Amino acid sequence: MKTVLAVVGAIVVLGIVVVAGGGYYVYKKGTSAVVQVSEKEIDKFILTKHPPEPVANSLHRIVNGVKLHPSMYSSVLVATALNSIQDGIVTEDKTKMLAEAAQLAEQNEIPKEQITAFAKKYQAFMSRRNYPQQSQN
Amino acid sequence: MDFLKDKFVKRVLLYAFLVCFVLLHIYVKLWTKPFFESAGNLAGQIATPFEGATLDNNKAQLASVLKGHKLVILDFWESWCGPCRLEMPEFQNLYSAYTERGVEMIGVYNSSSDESVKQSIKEYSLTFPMIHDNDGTISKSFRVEAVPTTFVIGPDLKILRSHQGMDGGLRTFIEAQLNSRVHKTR
Repeated sequence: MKTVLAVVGAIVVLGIVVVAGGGYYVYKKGTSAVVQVSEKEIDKFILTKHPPEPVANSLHRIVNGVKLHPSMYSSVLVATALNSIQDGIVTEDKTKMLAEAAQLAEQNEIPKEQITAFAKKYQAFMSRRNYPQQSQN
Repeated sequence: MDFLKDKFVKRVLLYAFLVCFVLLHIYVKLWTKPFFESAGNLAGQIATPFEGATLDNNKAQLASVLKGHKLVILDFWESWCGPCRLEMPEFQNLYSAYTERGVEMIGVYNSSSDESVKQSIKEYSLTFPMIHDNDGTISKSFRVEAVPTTFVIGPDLKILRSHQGMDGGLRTFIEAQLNSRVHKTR
């Protein structure tokens, strides 16, 4: 009986390991998929819309930064950049936002305070327009 | 930690450990290579010989450059890339310090314009040759995914070091390689 329970226990421990490993695998694959899609979209945008050089450079820098230091925060930056270029229009605000995003993306580790400040400042360009969550009280 | 003294718990942990070990072994043997082998992680492999035109329209071939040198440093960079520009002064220092000891350095860029590269050359007083990898063939053959990526190649075309991101340990590596080569020839 004890042996059966031991085997069941082992299976449970194994299940936890597999779920954790699977989660890590999905995270890695998900990040690389985000990078691939972003790169494709950004290349398409640069080739078809011919944005000014500072904008094209910022977009290159953001994608490159995500590849060098993939993280949740850098994914936020590339997602914001992608969202902002969807309409194909380049504005002064966007140029400024992309330059700041590029500067953040090139850092080895993006500090939480900086990404929060960025999100607050440029929430209009983010897909979740109510980010950060506003209190209803 | 008293529960660890229980025979049952010990047995559970032992079985779990054994199964995890076997699974991990199978995983490492079968799947890790394609999953982790990316981002220019080519150390130990043989470099694909390439040919390109430098900014001043001279031909540069990896094989012929290697004939006259002990080591070749290949730096994939872009003029728009902040970290690449940051390490340029150090690369120029390295190039100046080690050229006489048989080290050559080649910069390779892909999506930057020739004008912006010329501007960077002027800004950092760079003297090593630059190749425009127009169609990205060289970058693809070295599996470069992001810049800066640096390679150190030996005379037998063997890639001795590959590094993605800013390479703070390059000088130490070059020094160690040159010293070991001196010892080998003695």
